[in-house]
Amino acid sequence: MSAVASILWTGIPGGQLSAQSAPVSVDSKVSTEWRRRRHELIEIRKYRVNWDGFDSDPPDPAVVDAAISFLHVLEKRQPSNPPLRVALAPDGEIAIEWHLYGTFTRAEIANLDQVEWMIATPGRETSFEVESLRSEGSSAYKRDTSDITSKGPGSTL
Amino acid sequence: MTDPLPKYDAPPVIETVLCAQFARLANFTGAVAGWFWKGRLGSDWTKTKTAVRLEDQFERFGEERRPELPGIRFYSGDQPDRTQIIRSDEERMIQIQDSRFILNWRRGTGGYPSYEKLLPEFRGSFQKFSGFAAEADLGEIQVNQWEVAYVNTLDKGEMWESPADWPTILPGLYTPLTWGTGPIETHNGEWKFVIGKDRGRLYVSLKHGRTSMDGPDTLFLQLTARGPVDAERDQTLEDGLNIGHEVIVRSFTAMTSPEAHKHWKRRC
Repeated sequence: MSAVASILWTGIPGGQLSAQSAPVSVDSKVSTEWRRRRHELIEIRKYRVNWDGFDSDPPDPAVVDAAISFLHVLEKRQPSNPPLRVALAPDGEIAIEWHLYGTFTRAEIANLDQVEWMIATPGRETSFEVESLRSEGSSAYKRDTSDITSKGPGSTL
Repeated sequence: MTDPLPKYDAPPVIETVLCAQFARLANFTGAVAGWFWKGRLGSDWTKTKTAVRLEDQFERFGEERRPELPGIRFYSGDQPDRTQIIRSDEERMIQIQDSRFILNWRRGTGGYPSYEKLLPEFRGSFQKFSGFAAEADLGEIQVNQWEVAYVNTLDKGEMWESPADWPTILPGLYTPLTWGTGPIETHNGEWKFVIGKDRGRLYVSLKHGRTSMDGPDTLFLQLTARGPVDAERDQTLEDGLNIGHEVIVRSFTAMTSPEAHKHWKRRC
């Protein structure tokens, strides 16, 4: 499932020339932004107690790992829209945020079960949605995650 | 757009795609695709393959145009893959998934059959699929986007020897001035245009590569047109495909040189 999905039949070099990829082409700058967010989450995973100077507890590594996996899923879904930033809240919640065309979007991951989405657009009512990470309804997430973690027979993830 | 549509006897096209995208069929599975293959297509459709499912794509305009937010996509159950059903001569492929029906033509021993021949083939096979979907209790097909794509290859040695020659084929191709370098070594580009009054978009992609490891250098020129199908606005699937085809053919002709047209045996 790691191949680039293409509507085309002919083998185009690099799999890049596809009707599917044309409107969602990802330039190197965008790829760099996704890498940066992943790296920032990896750094957050290393935080220890009092990481913010206010005696906050360290983040739960499992939650950070869930956020990293979810970031991979997001990149597959919308490769052209990397998040603006990631952040850790004092209560251990991981936030992934976008600010696109005047709309502020935040995905909050507080546990291994779900992601809480908030979408705020000026002049409109802020909407909230919950996306399950574990239930049957999230099978796409689980499948995508397995694609990412199953790097080969030696993978221990 | 009243001039006759340009026609070529030896066009450089190697693949065409006609596609209908529709609202997801919740009960569609790989087994259902197999049922369609064996039950509705003829015996000359001999091979199948499984491919990664294509994400739905929507062309939006004006107020409808909003950022594609990364989240808020809910999936119910496993997402079925895409099934590719290939004709024995390997010049046609039907691709079906829970939200798309696609007909591909690929260059084989025969020449380009023309859009006038491919459109009825697409129409007929898509009607078969729509009827099948109703009988199989998959639900009514509600088409929401049309898509047309043409892939052209321009091999090195035919009309160009180096990338510096490309502007003789594509006169609008801009090469920036440089200092302290040799001539241009390669170029890749993508362009995007709105078709008419928000009728769709045209994507043009130019890539330099090879069709195989030991094949010649090739310039890949892909034109993809896509737009909405909306009964309330009287935007039908077939109108969309026709618009997409016309925009692609006229744009291809506009972006390429008269010398290239002669090489491809332009008739009108």
